[in-house]
Amino acid sequence: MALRRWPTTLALAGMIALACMVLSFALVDVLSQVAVLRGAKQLRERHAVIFTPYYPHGERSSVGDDTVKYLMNLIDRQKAYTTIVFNMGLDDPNFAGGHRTLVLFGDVIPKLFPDLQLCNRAPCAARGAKIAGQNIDSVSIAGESIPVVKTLPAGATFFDVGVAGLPLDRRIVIRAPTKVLPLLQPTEREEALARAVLLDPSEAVVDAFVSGCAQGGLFLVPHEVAIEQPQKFRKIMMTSAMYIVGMLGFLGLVFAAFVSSARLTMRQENRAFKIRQMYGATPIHISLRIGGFLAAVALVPQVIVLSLLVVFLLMTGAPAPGAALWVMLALILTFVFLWFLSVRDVRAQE
Amino acid sequence: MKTILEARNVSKVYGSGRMQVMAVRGVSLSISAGECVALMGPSGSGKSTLLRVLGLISRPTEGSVIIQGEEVGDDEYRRARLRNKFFGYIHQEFAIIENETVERNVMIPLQYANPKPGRQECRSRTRLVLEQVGLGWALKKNASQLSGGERQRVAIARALVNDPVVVLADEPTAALDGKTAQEIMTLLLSIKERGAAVLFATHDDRVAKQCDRILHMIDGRLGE
Repeated sequence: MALRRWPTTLALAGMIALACMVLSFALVDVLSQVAVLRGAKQLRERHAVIFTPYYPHGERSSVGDDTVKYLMNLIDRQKAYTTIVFNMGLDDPNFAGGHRTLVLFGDVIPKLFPDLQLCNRAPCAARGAKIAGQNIDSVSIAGESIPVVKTLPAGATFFDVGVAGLPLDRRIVIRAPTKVLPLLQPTEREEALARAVLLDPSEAVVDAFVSGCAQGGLFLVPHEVAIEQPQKFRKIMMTSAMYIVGMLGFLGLVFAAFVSSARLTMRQENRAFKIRQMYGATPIHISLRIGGFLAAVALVPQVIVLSLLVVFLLMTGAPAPGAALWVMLALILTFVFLWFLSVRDVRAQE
Repeated sequence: MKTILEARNVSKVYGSGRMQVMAVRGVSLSISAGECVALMGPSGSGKSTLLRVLGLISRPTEGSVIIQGEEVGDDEYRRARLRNKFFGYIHQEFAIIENETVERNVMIPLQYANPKPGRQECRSRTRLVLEQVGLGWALKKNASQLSGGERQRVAIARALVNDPVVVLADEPTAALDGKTAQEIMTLLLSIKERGAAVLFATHDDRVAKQCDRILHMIDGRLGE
């Protein structure tokens, strides 16, 4: 049947294969976005408080060790974490082999963001997927040598409260011990304080931290993530939602076009099915013929294309290579649904 | 002569409620081996429906069909096996599959035969039966390229390829011109020589007169 109707078969198979490819690529992007949004959700659930720095005189701050130790203590009790995204090792061009870094302080981070698959037990570091081949054995912070022990999965993205999704593919991600915090350069230390994220803090804790920083000239305005973050990230969520809706719309159109074409073909084949039934074809024979045609149109070529795509995504280190597998699963379910529908249609006309 | 096909008090109702149509009403008949029977009646009298019920294509609403002394039940797989082994069908509208070769059209009953003949045997039987109906030359032709008369010959070849016991022909010459219709009739009557019974549904006197027995059907009821 598929051979006899080869122009239809070829056109439908090509159309569906193309749609599957586009969907796979779109899904790769959506899955990355979803990981970021999940990070945001974790922080909301922990009633996280973040800070916006405010510099009234444009002067460099000099926060006292007491406040830094206060933050250290919170981090060690897993009631806070902090990061340094931009200012680490600015005075050393060879720091981390010249690669950009993300320095993380806090054992709570792997618990908040398990998808990141960070290295276990600080101090340790991991390289981004796209600098995997480069030989960086260790990084040194305040005289502490931190070994680079693993490579992060491709497409790993850190949810940073300041910049939302921070891609890690080209960064060295360092889990530093809190004991180095007081030993950091002033700019590094200032960023670490300004980026502090307090988890389930009481008002007294927030007050103590903010006033300690203010005494050193670093004025921090606290924000509760649960209240402000939804507004702040509304745009990102809207974009993601639009993307998903657009993709679903596209999928729906392709599905509708395919279902109507397939059913039209089945109707044209009705006479052939009747003749076959007349001469002894059982319901199983008819089901197999329909299944064979649908598999040739909507399953086998697409599964081959998607398998090749999975291999390609794995080889190029693209994020979320499993996206093509999800599309494959959707395709198999569509095939089963359509097969059932077509067999029912044909049998109903007996 | 031995009775090979029998209908006992067969009725067939289509639809339900106010839309109910009783196409066949309590028909009983029997057909013997090698017999040619004409089923005559106006359009809508239930001839085609009775043929479909006798040929196990439709199930009777009431009554039963008996083949070689055994009642045919509701088991679809048994019915399919009997359709393949016992019957050949010829329709008014040359029921053939377009965009398929003549050979593959004729081979269809052999595909579902049990045991299924080998590929070589299928081919040789197909070639033989096509030669018998005068279409040996059209083996590899696409069925859609043939004329009406040639298509009907393909349908006859397909009906005969599995050596059926009964051939059911529903208005086989209705869509053909006079000369071609007579050629097709001659061919259909020759089926008797193979030992098979032939049951024609027709409203054409000239066709009916060539049969051994004529049954009249009016409003779903039968009378000799």
